[in-house]
Amino acid sequence: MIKDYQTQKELRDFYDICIIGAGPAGITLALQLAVNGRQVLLLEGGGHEYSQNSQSLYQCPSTGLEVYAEETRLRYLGGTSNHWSGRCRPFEASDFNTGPPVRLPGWPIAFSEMERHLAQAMAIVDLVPNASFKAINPSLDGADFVADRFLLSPPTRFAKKYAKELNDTEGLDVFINCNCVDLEFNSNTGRIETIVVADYEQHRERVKARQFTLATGAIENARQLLNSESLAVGGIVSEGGLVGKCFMEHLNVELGTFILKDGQGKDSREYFTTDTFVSQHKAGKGNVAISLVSEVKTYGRMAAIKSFFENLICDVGVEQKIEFITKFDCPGDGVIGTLIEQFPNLNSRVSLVPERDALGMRKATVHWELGPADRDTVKSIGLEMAKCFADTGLGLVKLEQCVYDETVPLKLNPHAHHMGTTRMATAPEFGVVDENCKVFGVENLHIAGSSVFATGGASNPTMPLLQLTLRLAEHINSIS
Amino acid sequence: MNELDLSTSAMDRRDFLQVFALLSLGVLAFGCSETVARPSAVKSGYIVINGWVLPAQHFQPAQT
Repeated sequence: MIKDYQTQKELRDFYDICIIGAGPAGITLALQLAVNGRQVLLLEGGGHEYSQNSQSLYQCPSTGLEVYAEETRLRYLGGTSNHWSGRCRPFEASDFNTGPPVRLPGWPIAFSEMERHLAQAMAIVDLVPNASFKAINPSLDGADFVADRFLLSPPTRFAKKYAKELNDTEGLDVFINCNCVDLEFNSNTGRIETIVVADYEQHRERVKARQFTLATGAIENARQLLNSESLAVGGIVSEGGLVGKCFMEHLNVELGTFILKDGQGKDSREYFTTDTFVSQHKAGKGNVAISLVSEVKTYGRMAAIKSFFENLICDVGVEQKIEFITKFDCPGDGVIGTLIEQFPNLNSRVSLVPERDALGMRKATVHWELGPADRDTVKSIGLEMAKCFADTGLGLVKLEQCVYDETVPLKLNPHAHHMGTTRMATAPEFGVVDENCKVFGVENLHIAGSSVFATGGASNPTMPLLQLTLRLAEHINSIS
Repeated sequence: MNELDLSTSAMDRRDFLQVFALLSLGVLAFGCSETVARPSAVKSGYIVINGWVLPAQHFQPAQT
């Protein structure tokens, strides 16, 4: 049953499991546990629809690269799935077999742990289970790039699609407008004994449960942990610890433009780096999207491009060619965009500022920063893709200067894929949660969602985070 | 329970995410910059001139 905590203060005295956050991870976990007979409480800070008083609690100043932390998230039932684009691409075995080229380990679990939940995760986002991920174009010749394979969810809006289950599943209480404002840790028992919830009038009460799970997204999961004074006193969260660190995004870089040798094409193309490329260049993975401009109407453009190719191969002096190329100024046939892996980086992090929100919680700030290895990835992918264009006779690429010249600041945008702030590891020196997504040092606190990603690959995170959530549901069912 | 409707504000935010792509097209439409060309070597027989990644074979000195 979905109840509004603003008007219905009807929390039970005790739950088996309390889940904080009703986005894709929280909703999936709650339903998986409730159908197995558990008494489950699912808390959502927002209401049924977008409202400014809820969304304003996501205000989040940032330093470093602009991450658009407020705009890219949605704080109401269904969470950020309410503006999800629906692109689904699974992780690959190499995401789990190979650690990142930085001083942090990769995933501590085997790829098979993800793979066995793929069919069910696909069904949750309205894909046909076991359907093949499809390419929209042929692969490129050479060993560096293959055609990217993905499927598109309708996209699934979780609150809408699962409204009936959220209302009717026995044992499940869903409360909207119910904000978690504190996690109360008991150092003697090593457990979260209670959490404190509040409505928008600051009415507060404690919730008791055997198990708690945070499922509020990568920024808020870290913020909840960092805001808990009892976790700090208990030594679970500390300044030198990993909570909030290794915030990762996928890099949306304008690599450049291109001209096609055989005139303007019509179809967009998507390519993906091969494991050979990643190994050879010690680079991250990346999707490269070749988008054609539907109408480029410039008088004499086609003749100018033809002239460019002719001048390139004709037998004039080198100096003349360089001068001609330098002065060439003509709209291209399209643009090259990316979704590139960012490696975990301790300096890229979520932390707290002294300012408090309307419910009295300290606000979070995000400092999004790339490392040298990320610039190398962008440069390698840009140059190698440009060479593939020329090698295969497809055309020629003009890269943005920031792609090949690392002294120029990189022009990039985020993809709204927040990952890594409570990363999974085998030990607290390297992460915040263990292989079962349980917070190190706390017996009964788990974390669901992409904040536990040890590395982010170059796959859209929603479907993989659901695979991990299904695995987490299995684990919690086994211990509670 | 009534079926939930998506709010207008959420739709606005979906549009926001599209802005990144539109910005890319904007750069394209106004063409390339004219920074001074300085060829830089790229391995495997390619050079970069003013951002263009070009086969180096086209820039060999003329044979005599």
